Amino acid sequence: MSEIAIELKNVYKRFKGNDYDSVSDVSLKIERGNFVTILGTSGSGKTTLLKMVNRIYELTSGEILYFGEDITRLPVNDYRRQIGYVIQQGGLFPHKTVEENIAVIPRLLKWDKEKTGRRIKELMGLVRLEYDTYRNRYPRSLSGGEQQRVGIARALAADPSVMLMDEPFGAIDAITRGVLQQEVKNLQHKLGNTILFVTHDVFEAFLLGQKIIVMDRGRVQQFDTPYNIMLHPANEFVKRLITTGDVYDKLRVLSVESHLEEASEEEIQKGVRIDSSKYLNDALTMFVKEECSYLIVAEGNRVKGKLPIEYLKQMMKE
Amino acid sequence: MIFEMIAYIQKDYERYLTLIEQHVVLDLIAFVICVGAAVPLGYLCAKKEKAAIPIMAAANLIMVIPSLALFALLQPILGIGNAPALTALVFLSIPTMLISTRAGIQGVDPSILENASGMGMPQWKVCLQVEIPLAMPAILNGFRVTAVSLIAGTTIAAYVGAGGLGFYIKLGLTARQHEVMYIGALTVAAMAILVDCILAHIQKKQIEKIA
Repeated sequence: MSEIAIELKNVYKRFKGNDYDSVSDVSLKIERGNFVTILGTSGSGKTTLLKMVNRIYELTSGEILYFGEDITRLPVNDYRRQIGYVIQQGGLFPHKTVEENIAVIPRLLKWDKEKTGRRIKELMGLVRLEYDTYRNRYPRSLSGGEQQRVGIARALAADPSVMLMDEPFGAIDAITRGVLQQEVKNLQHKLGNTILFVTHDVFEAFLLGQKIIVMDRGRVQQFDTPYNIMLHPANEFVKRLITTGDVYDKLRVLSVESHLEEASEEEIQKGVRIDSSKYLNDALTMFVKEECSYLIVAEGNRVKGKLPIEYLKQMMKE
Repeated sequence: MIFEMIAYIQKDYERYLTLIEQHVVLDLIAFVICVGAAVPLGYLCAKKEKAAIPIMAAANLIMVIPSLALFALLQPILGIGNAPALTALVFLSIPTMLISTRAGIQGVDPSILENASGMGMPQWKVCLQVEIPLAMPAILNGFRVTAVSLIAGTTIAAYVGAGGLGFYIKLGLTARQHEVMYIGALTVAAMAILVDCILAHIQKKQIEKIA
């Protein structure tokens, strides 16, 4: 079992003046290096939960541990500097340039100019913003997607082990969102930091999350892998939530590796191959194009198994 | 009339300059005290609703007192001269400055502030590096209104024995020398317009930077 980055123990949050809990009895363990999405409708407590992790909201009762340490015992500002925080629109400072925005945390940490400068350059490369073109621009002159890139670079500045992202792509057009989702996924893969990502978009939650926390009315309804949630929803709510999207959406987030059967030598020889990084919707396209009854799933030359068409048919009936 | 005015200024050159100097110094002191008091108070009012209620009520109350009446009210307490003039000027200009500051601070997008503290910025840095700069256009608006009303208001201070260009206006009125009165009034007007233009320029620069 790998190291636990964030652990919540019986966490409750009740806002002053409310007679209900916004977050109720949440206990979770988030492993280091995991990309976890928090999915829920508005008012489900997903953002409240996230904001308790960096102490923007203080919890009413319970405990949150950061690598085993109670976060209320850590000096709040030092703790927050170790945690990247990205919100919708990036929350950039409109009176500071891109460069100055990214330098916020390095300056708080009193890095010297040279180190800060080097880091800014490196970060802008990571989020694919050309250094010379963008460094002196103000946020208002950037598109929504570019602003969000700066927001991500800024949050990554001090190489945080945990990143909190609160619907970062909520206000971005569908095409740019798709690109950014892919890039965040790649970045996380490359940097290996733990990400907690709040979204109300079912598709986004499934696409990005290695694990998904489904929340409703302040409670965790299910915390599992996308595959398990899709195929074994824990209750009616989860079932309803994931069936709101159409079948095609479902196929787009399930890997071709979700269901593999053993393939015989002959099948491997004759079968049409599909890369193991593809999703079931790609498989569907291939089934239609090649008019075959199974596909051979392989990573490079290594065959992993076969994916029969019956499985897809069954998926689409559900 | 213009020739009479020029002639009068030439004749009374030294006193004219002294009066301008007195006027400017009085305004500057009043302005600095006013900003020093009103900006923190306005910030407090924007942040703490409980504090805002009595402070805003007091500010609104001060605004309804006519300036001449305040000068008259203060005279028995502080006597005549610069002290009562300064006190009255500061009092009268605090409300506008305070209200502008409060509006400016309240207008800052809360998500930006939350993000700032979420990144681990201490509260005082959030205030100085984020809130105040972002509220600057509104604060500068307060500067403009305050500066202009101070320059104009100081003319009345002459009635309680303070210096400044109000002396010319008073003298002109009592001695029925209209050119003297016009010199005072027009110089004050020119000063007010000049200061407003300068501050408007700074404000425009600031807005360009932010929005």
